[in-house]
Amino acid sequence: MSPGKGSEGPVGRDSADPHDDDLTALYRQAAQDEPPVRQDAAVLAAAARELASDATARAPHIPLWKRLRVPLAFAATALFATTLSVLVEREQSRSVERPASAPAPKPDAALEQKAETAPKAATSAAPPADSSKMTAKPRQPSAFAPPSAPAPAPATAPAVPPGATMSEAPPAQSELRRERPIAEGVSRPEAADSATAEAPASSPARSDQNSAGALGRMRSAKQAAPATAAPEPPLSPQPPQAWLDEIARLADAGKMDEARAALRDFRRAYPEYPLPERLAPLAPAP
Amino acid sequence: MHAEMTDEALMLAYQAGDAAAFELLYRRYRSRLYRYLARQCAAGVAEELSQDCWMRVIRARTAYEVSAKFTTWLFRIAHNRLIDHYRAHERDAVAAYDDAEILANVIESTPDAPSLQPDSLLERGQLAQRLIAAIEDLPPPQREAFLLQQEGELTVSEIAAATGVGAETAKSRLRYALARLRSSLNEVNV
Repeated sequence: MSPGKGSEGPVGRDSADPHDDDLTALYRQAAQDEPPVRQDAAVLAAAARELASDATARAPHIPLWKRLRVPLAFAATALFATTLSVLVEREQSRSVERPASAPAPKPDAALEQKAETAPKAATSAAPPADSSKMTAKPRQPSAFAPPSAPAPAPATAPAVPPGATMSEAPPAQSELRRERPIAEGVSRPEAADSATAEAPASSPARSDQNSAGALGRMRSAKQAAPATAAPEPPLSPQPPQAWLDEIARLADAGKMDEARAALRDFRRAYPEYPLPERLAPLAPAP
Repeated sequence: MHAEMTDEALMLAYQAGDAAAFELLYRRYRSRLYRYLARQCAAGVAEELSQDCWMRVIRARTAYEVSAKFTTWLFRIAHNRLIDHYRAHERDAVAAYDDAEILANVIESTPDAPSLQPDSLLERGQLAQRLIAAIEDLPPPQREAFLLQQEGELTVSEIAAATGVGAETAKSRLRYALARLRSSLNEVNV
């Protein structure tokens, strides 16, 4: 083979490329160098190593938010649950505190006050057997018997001692239970009678005042059948008419001092209530 | 299966995680790349540069796209690495690249060397050794153009792409290199 052709002919891929077949053949004969084996080992090992690192490197390429998605979801759920439970607990404690601190204590305080006064009155005032007439608040005079509509005097009104006043309002149901041993002298039928007697006089206005104790009244109304007809509990001292009848009886019996004292008390309790003519001379001067 | 695959397909397979594809690719061009470098610098340096070129191929696999022939891409990497080496160690070689255009223009007007007569040829082995020596005597840009044609089997346009010059410059360099080599062999023959 002769390298001497020497022409830059169209031997290559591109016909316009300078090329020399003889030189190419001679070069291929002369150039037999090979890279060292250690290079092969190093390069191939590096190629495999890079692929292996790719496999491990691909996992960390997941965005941070994706990798933390599950733990963050758990944390958020736990935080939400904790917050919710704290809020619910706080709300429950608040709702427990509310009835204790709001107007409710007033009846309690009134009841306790009555508990103290009840033993004094237990012997003289007949405690109502009808628990449906019990309310937490002491009855206001205007609520029982408005002057414009005086109730008729009941025929079976119980005897009211002259000392009975507004402060001796009948206790609430729970208080009644406590007071029962003290007021043993008073029989239940009498109390029931008094309850029925005063019912007509006090029914219209008392429903508003006793709304707080409505539930207790409803419960006790079922227990005390005879008194269910009387919607209002006798929280006031005496119904005015019964009281006046008692005063009249005292006057008839000649106990004028007691009658006057009782009338004074009556006037204090019912300043507007019209007095019968026969009691007018006993009334204190205005 | 890999044997029938093109260079570009093998590189893409390696990019996808096929180590065997890279090994075949490496076997195809390991000697050629090494010789391309060994003709242009010392043997020890050629080994280092060659290995470094392959490492760059490995690292660049993730960004590899088939925008050109694999060999063009491979030898462009080698060219850049060689220029870096020249800048660090052989300033004259870098300067030769700057003068290459002037030299190429001079060679454009040089008549072709007379063809070698078969009767006056030295023994073939001796002639081959002379050719190697003549290649080493070539100016670096012309030498590189010749080696890219022989080892990389690149066309003129591919040589231009690999070396970052225009096609005419690459063609001039190649023509100069061939003329000089033929001339060198004829001088020996004389």
